[in-house]
Amino acid sequence: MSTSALLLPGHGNRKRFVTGCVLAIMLTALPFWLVMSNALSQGATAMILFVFAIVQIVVHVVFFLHVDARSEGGWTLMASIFTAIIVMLTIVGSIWVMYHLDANMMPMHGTTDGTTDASTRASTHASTDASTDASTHASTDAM
Amino acid sequence: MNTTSLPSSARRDNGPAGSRAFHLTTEDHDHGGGRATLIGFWIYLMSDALIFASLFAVFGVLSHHYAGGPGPKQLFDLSLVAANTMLLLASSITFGIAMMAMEEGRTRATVVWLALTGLLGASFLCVEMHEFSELIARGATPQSSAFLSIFFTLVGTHGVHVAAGLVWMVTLLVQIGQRGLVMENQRRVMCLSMFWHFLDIVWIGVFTFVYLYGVIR
Repeated sequence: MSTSALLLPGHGNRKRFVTGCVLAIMLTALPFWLVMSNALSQGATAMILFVFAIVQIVVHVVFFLHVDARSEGGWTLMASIFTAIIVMLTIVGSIWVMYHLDANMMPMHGTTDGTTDASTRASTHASTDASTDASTHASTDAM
Repeated sequence: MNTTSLPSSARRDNGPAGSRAFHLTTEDHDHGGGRATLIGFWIYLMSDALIFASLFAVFGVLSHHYAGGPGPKQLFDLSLVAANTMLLLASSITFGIAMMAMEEGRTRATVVWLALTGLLGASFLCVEMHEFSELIARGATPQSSAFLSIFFTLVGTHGVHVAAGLVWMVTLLVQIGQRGLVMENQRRVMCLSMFWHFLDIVWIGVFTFVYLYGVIR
């Protein structure tokens, strides 16, 4: 196997590259147009944004970076899948955990989650009542 | 064994009279670490992706902590960001054309397309620095809120990567000018190509989650 063969791994026919370019441009232009024209509702726009971003990342990886099961004996694909998992864990996990931390740790601000706020207060009252009852009983018994 | 269609320049080195050998005909350490370099560089890119993942995670957590300061709706100029995005995407495409020119062994075309890629990258950086200076002039400094701190850190880290890519590109153009598209330079161009496409992928995350989603949220 020659070195130049290693360095030029079937880098690609033009058609594939042009397909990638057209897809990338469309997947970039559409989200900008959607947001700037306010064509859809907020929820639908957000959903389309995220789906398009993920699809465009896959398009770039496949059409521009040429990652597939054959390239470099599958090592680049393995590394990419591993990284994708870690990236998703980091981002989704952080946001998930910190959202709940916000909701649970700052009930006084009342900006994050109303129900948590209310239930925290309710349980505080309940425990106060309980302890008051207990101490009353205790003092009664002592007497 | 790579039996896919090899470019003619590649087949030239493939042993006597194009004969097929289904074993390694050369010592593995002979070729300046071509294959190993590409896999190694890919692993580096993946670790770089983890840096950006943690920055995106912090952005996700802090993105609504404005500390009473301005939010994305007041700050971002989407038409500027759209222009910037198109500049970076265009630079990715011109790099792809440079790669195809390199495969065909056309040194001059490779250099021209690489230089064009560098110019597009430089204009991307100029627009970004203009945006940053506008924000800071309006008082939206990194110190003013957690949101702005992570915004400048995330987008700035990407910008620093682009700047490093530009330095690399200029170096590479000088090297190609000195010695032509020799094997070592081909390997370097391939690594830079991976780096450049990777930066464009990170930018997809930036324009989607930071700018577009920030404005509609």
